[in-house]
Order: sequence, then C-alpha cells, then structure tokens
Amino acid sequence: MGFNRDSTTFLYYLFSRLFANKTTRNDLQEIVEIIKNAPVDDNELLQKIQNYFEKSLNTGEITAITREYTRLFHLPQGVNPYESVYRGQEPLVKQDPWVEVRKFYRERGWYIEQQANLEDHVAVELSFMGHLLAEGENKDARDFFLQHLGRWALELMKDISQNRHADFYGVVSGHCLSFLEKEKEYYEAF
Amino acid sequence: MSSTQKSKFKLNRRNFLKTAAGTGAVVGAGMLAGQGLAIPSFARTQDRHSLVEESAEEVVNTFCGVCSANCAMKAYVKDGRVVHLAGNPYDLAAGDPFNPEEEGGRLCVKGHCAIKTLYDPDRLKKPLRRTNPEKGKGVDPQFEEIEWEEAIEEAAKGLNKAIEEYGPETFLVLNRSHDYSVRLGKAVGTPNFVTHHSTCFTTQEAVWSAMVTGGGRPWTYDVENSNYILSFGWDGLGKGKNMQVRNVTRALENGAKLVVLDPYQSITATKAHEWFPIKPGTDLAFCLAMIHVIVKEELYDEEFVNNYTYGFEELQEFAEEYNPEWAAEKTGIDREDIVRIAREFAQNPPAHIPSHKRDAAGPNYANSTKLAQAILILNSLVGTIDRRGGTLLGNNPGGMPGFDDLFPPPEFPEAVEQRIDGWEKNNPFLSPFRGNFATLPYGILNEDPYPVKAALVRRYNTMSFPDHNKFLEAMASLDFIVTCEIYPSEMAYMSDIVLPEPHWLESSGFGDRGYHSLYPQLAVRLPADDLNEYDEYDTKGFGGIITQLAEAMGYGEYFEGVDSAKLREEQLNALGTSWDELANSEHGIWEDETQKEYEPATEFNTPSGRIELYATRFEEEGFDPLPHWKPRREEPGEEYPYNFLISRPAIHKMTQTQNNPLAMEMYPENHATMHVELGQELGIEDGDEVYVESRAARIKLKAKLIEGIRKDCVKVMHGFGHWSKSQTVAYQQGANDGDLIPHMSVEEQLELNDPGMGACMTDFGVKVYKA
Repeated sequence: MGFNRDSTTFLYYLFSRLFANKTTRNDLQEIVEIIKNAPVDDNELLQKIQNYFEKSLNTGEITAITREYTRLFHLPQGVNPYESVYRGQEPLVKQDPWVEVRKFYRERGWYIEQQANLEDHVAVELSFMGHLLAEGENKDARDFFLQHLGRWALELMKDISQNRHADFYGVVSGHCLSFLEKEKEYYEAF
Repeated sequence: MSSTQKSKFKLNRRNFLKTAAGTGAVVGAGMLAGQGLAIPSFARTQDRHSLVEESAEEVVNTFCGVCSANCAMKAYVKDGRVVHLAGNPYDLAAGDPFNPEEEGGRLCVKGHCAIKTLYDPDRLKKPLRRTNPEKGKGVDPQFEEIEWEEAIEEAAKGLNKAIEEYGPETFLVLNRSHDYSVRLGKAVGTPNFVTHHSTCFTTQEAVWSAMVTGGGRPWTYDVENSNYILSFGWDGLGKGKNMQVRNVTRALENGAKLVVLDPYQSITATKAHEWFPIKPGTDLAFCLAMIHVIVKEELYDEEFVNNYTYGFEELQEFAEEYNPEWAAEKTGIDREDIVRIAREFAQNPPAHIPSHKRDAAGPNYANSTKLAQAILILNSLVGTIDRRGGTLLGNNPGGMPGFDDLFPPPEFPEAVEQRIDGWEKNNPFLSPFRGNFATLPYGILNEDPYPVKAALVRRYNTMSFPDHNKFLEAMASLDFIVTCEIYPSEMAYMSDIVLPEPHWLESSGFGDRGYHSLYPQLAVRLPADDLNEYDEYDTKGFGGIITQLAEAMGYGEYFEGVDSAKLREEQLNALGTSWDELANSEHGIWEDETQKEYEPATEFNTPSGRIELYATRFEEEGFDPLPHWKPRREEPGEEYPYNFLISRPAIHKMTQTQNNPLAMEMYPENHATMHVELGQELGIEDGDEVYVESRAARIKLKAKLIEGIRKDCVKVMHGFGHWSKSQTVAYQQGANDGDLIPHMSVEEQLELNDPGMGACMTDFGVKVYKA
C-alpha cells in the first residue's frame, strides 16, 4: 500500500529538492515552514522529516550540511547520484541509461525547463515522478518508476546511508529509502 | 503561447501563501521551487510525442589533449554524448595527408580512452574551499563547494596576503608556461615560474640549443624513412605515440634494421632485430666508442660532415681514447658487437638514433646530457640531422602574432633574480620558463634563498615530483595554494582553493602538429560536448580563471583588452585564414600547401652556422664542448645494490589517466619488475608483495618476475600510487616511483656541472626485499 497520493507527490518534490542542491540554514527553515503549511493529509513520514529538521535547526547540526552535501554529491568519496553510473555498463555519466531517461521524457511529452542537473540525476528523476503524479499521469509514473527510478535509487539511498561522511543526508536518505520501498511495493502491485 | 505550454508548477512560496487552499501537492512543488529552493522543473510539450527527436548524429573536429602530439581527431557525437573518437586521416600526427583515404586515421590507446575521462563522475564540477587547515599525504581537505565569485575572491585574498606580507618572490607559479599565468606572475613580480622540464627533456634541449637550433629541440622523427634505427632506451612502440608507432612499423615493413640498447626489454626491444641489455648509465660509453670507430675508419658521411658541421678535427682527436675495448668494459657489451653496430650504423644510410624525452638521454643520469650530445654527434656523422630518415627540425606555422604582441602589457615590476629552484644559475640553453622539480623541495624547506608562501598550480600532480614525500612536506609548509585542475588530484588535496577546468573535449582552439610537423599544419579543436550546460557543472577555462584572478588581486590593468578569441582570430588571419574558415572546414585542418615539399636546412642557428660537433656555446659557458666520459652520479653499492629503472606504460599518460576505468582495466597497477633469477636469489615469487627502497624512501608493491630485464635492475612503471581518496579508480593502485627519487639542493645540482640540469631521475641504487 502506497502513501496518500497527494502526500506522495509532495514527498517526491521534497526529496528532489533535498538532493538537488546544497541546503543552508535558511533553506532548511523555509522547508520546515513549507512542510508545516503543506496542504496535504497528515503523513507519518513527513512528520518524522519535519521533526528531524526542526531538531537539526535547534541543535546546531545544520552548520555542516553544506559541507556534507559537497562531500557526498560533488566529491568522489561520496556517491554518484546518476542512473547512468548505477546502471550503465561502466560507472560513468552520460551512458545508455541517461539516453533512455531523456528519451522517456521526450516520448511522454516533457522537457526540462532548466538544466540544473544531468537528466538522470536522482533529484531530476524524483521531481519527474512528482510532476507526473501531480498531472495525474499515473500510468507514466508507474512506467517511469519501474523502468528507471525504482531500478537504482533505492541502492543509491543505501549507499548514502552507509557513506562514512553521511550524517544529515544519512537520515534523509533513510527516509527516502523507506518511501521508495513503499512506492516500489505500490507500483509492482499497480 | 509557443509550441510548448508551461506547466503550472512554477509557483513560489509567496504564491503558495496566496493560494494555500489550492491543489495541495501541485502547489507543494511550487513552494519548493521558490528562490533558493529550486528543484528540477518540467514543462509539458503541446502534444505528447511532439518533441520525440531522431537520434542526432554529428562529427566534431578536435585534437587530443592527452599529450603534446596534439593528434587531430574526429569526435562522433550521438544523442548528445561523445560515443567514439577516431584519428583524423588528414592530420600529420594521426593520419597521413599524403594518402588519407588509404591510410585512414589512428589514435593511440590513451586518446581512445579519453571519453571515459570526459564522463568520469569523479571530475571536479565546482570550485572547492579547504576547511581542514592540516595538510599532508592522506589528510582529508574536507572541501566544501563555493561559487566562483567567492572562490576567486578568496584565492586573490590568500595569494595577496602572502605577497604583501613576505614579498612577490614568495609567490610560486607552478605550471607549464602559459601566456596568462606568466603575465600574472610577472605582474606580481615573482621570478618563480617552475615547470617539470628538468625531469623530462632539458638534457636534450640544452644540447640541441647549443649545437643546432639556438633554442629548443625538435620532435619530428622521420624514422619511417630510416634504414637503420638504433635506440638507446627509446621506446617509440611502447610509449604508444601514434606517429612514432606508425613510423617504426613502416620502417620495419620497409626492411629497416632496429637495434635496441636498454637494460629492460621494452616493447620496441621485443620487436628489434637485436636487443642488448646495456648496463644502466653507460650508454655514453657505447656512443663514444661508436664515434671512435666511425671516425677512425672514416665511415662518416663526408659530404654532410664537410658542408654542415663544425669541429670535426677536434672530434677526431677527442674520439681517439674511447676505443671499443674500453666501452665493452663499461657497458658489458662485447667489443665485437660495438664495432659491428658502429659500422652497420654508418654503412646503412639513412641511419638514425631517435631520442625523445625520458629515454637514456633524458634526465636520468648525471651523464645524460653528455649522452644526448654524443647521440647528436653520431646522427651528424651519418648525416641525419634535418634530413630524411632522421630527426627533422620541424616546420610549424610561422609569423603568427604572440600574446604580448597583440596585448602589450604595462611595464612589469622588477623581480629579484634568485629563484627558489636555482634556475637563474642555469645557462642560456634553457628557457627561464622551465624549472627544476628536483631542487624545489630543498629550496622551499630551507627557505633558500627566501621562503615561499603561496602557489598557483595548474595540473601538476605532487606525484610528478622527485622525492614526493619531501615535496609534500614543502607544499604543506606554504600558507596558501590555489590549484586549477579537472580532477581531485593529490595536488588538489594539498590546496586551499581548487578551481575546476573543463575537459579538453569541451574546449575550443587550434594547435600545431607538435610531434610531427613535416610542414605547417594546424588542427582545430571544437567542443564535442559541454557539461557546463548543466548547473551542477561549473568549470572555467584557465585563461578566464587567470583574468578574473588578476582582476581580484589588483593586477587587472595587465589584462585590459586581453581577448582569447581576438588572439585566435589575429593569429589565423596572419596565416591567411580565419577562425570561421578553420572551424567550418570539413576536416578541421589548415595547411600551407606551398611548403609540403620538404627542404632540408643548410644553415643552423649556431655561431658557425653549422651543427657544432664541438659545441662552442658550451665552451663559452664553462661546459664541456665535447662529451668526455663521465660516470653516473651514484653507482649501486653495498646498501642499495640494484639499478632503478622507470618506464611508462603505453596505456597511461604519467599520473593523469589512473582514474580512467578503461585504461585501468587494461593496466591497473605497477609492479617491481625484476629478473626471475634475481627473484629466486632474494626468495621472491611472482606476485609477492615487496618493498623497493632507496636512500629517499621505500614503496610497497607486487613483484613481477620476467626474463627481459638485466639481473641487476628493478623497474617500476610511473603514474601509480595515488593517495587522493577522491580518485576512486586510481586510489591506492600500485605505488609511486617518485617516492624513491632523491631530491637535490641547488648546490648539489650545480656540482654536476650539467648544462642540461637533469634531475637524475634514476641515478641511485635501490634494494628490494619481501614485505
């Protein structure tokens, strides 16, 4: 059984945002406000995330988050958050899975407004899931999850959790993993 | 509205608050997409499938940036990514413009592997700032990502602090000579432009400058037209350089004889008609005896010697003492073989001894410059200096305005003369924009003649330096280091600010035919991909970085009006072409048709106008005008009984390719390579972990036991032993040969009285034992 679909959409966006960019203290404060005001049904996972963010803001753990982001997502001792690296024949960017993801976007009638990240970056794929759900494209969402996101992002989340540099993002990826596991269950039974 | 319809998700938080009663999750995206909280945003095309693209295919003309050969290539781009690289058949280096269709284009394996570097996720993407003040081998810099503006500002502040507090000479510019960084360094007023060349080819460069060219050394070997190729450690096949491989194989197909003298059975040696495992550091003795035989038996090319050389009489007298018996004792090669090879060399024209960088005449031993001198004499005696079948002086496009011509700088402040590497005590045969890696650690650590406090580095790896650990100690003592790189290399790990550059497959420009300039030819470089299209990649070209840095440091006036596109255009205009014409030409090649016919030089840039067998310029500067025998600096002895040899595999380019997964699949680590009998003697089996130890350090790596090496030698391939954890493929694969090479003080260097200022890269003994 998956999440309430409105909450689900919101969570896809939220995780996309967290993995797309560095998060400063101000960003995190703003995200907490957004979560509080999000017009979605009560959601246990969202509540947990909000609680953790509030705790981080209060305990000062937030100060190292931008550094942790660099180490995890922009330096090689971290992780490579690209489908191409996980599913390509070699662990490089712009391999066949990247071509396939771009093709999926095009064929289903979408384009990316701003090329902030490579098209198969986890943040882009998470965001795409959010967009499909928000637009009611449930079949496309299922296809995309089963053909792309669901085939590698769970492994990425485990890698982030296990990375010795992961602290804040270790918790975030843990939440994201439990979210994606439920999504996987949902789509496999869809 | 256009053919695409914007999705309704681009609401910011303010919009959200106004429409909080809206459609929940949809609004949620807009909320998160507010200022500073951007998430990847999708828009819907008007109709499903309307933007389905056919697979776009494109061929982009570019040239390789792995080594200085600049082989022109065709980059095949499909679906927005580079999928294949091929040699350009119309290029002198990668193809054969005299017969392009039949010969086709070729690239070496390093060139083919380059796509894997372009798409390596370990590449640097954004400027980085160190947060851990501790520096050293294995120390995590704890980088954090910063924006360019902040990075440039902090770099300028850090460099200026050192310059203002301690003086301009305490600023070290550590990169291959580049118009922009040289100008910045001069504007600051430092004399310290230090490069790697004393570890690479200054021994040969000094000799060519004094005896033939008046400055610099040529790189074009026409050995495909040789009838007899004699190699002193030259491994043209094993280094994999495109044009050298082609030339040697063509020569062999044409029936040329190939003879190799090398303590190690290199790839070239395996293809040779004869291989002599000569005693390391004695190649000079062999050459002197050859000169003796050729002169005494009057086997030399009389026409060439009489018309184009100077000092033959002095050479005759000089060569008398170096008889083959003497050389046999030194080299371990039979007298009869020495005499026979000397005769064959002289009697099978055109015959030639090619020498390229780190072969025996590279800066390996204290007598390497003399070996280069002797080789040049031998090639002159058989008439293959700037003659078909020999080394050609090269013919690159001339008459192009330089950077300073087009953008003349304001007057520079006067810099102190003394340099931190002692290079000012050098000689007129080597450019001041070279340098000595071997003496740099001593100078920095002993603050001799003054301290160094800050450095601007570009693409030099700490592992390229002799006595790597001592060099790390020296660099760790600096207050501030800025490094421009494409990888989180070991030098990046020592740096305070790291500025990311694009890969050469993302760059544009043009280049001459570095290693095979038979006639004036240029190749264009156009970007085959550009990862900067994505915000997560934010790299800048070196010229742009230096211009911004200079501005931030307060030296902006030196870069006013500087425009690389203008430079490019003016240079091409001087040749009668333009950037547009070159960039849009079918094969990306410009060439001077009128100079395709080869014209050998009849005058040379020396005081006599001839090739000076007796080097008067050396004599004027207090060096030996003739290559009298001189032993190596350190013979192996009781404590360190074995000769140390370094080589480089065809698959790799120095320290730059060990993070390339394809290259590493083919050649993943280096070994302590030794003869099977030496292994047996020492109780070492193939694959055992061993220590190789010199008086500088010891390294641990696996043993490889082979037949093709002298029993008194241990060989290690260069480029391995990376310790930056951020190079995930290269990390801890093999060991670094450079750890073992002792550094020198400037005094020790000068005591060698070597006009080539060679770093003595293998002039020491080692011991080896099981780990």
